[in-house]
Amino acid sequence: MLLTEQRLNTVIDLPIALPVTKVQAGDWITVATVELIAPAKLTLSQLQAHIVLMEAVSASDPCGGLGKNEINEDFIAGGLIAVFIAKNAAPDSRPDLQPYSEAMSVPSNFELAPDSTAPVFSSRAGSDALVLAESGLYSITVLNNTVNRNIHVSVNGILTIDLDPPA
Amino acid sequence: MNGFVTSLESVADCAISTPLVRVPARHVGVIMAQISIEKGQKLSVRYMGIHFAKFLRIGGISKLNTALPTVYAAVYHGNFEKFGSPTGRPVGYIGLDYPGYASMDPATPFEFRLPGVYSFALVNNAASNDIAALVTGAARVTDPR
Repeated sequence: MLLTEQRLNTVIDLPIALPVTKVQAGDWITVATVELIAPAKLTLSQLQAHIVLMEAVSASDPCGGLGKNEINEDFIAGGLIAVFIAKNAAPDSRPDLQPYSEAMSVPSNFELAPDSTAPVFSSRAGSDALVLAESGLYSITVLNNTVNRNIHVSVNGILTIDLDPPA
Repeated sequence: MNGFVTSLESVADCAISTPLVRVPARHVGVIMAQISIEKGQKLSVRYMGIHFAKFLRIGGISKLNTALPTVYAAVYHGNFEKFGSPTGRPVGYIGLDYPGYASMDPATPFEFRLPGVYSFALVNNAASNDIAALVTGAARVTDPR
């Protein structure tokens, strides 16, 4: 199969890039937004999040040891953090209540060792890619799902938009 | 344009993005990327979208430069001494006057061949109102040699 310049120009890799950022307990930040207009297709080929550091909101409730990470029961997502791909969401509205196509989260029982960082996790890669074809405005949002931890997190990935996909 | 691609080594895609950030008023900008091209190379921006989330203060939305949108993602060419004050007109931009989303038409990309440094910035053109916005996009440098 040969690749033409015209075909190459219809496929664009867009970044999902959040440098390490402190997200307060219960807060969220939108990382990327892409508008999809049919017949174009959007493929989430890779998405990773990395918890670099967790801080206790209260000094009497330290991370690690006897301290316990408490999940916000109001949020429908599980885990310490969750990354959402939401459709037609407003950046300042609660991401877990938006119609979303995908969400991934770090396990809630994950404990951060004082001298190490959390493992990178990835729910989407290679053949497991998520393909979106419905027109809409898609946003990638990371949510701190805890009530007692401020979390320093980085998120990165690739959204590939194919403007003229083969039939 | 309709030839076959014989090597992808001559093509480099560069990220143009910032997560949701607060941009202070009075033409303050966030530089998202700076790309240098040489003679014979081409810089093309096929996709760049700006999501203007909200004004962060209640108040007027008068603009410093009325010829440009309140908030815009722009490409500047040439030396960039600092970005705390108006720096002239960009060579390409997309933007909005009110919260919402705008993106460029991929069918009509921004294309540049003049050698030099191209700077991509998210700019708040409001006179007295801070804003929150994010940008997602990509630029491609093509070297025909």
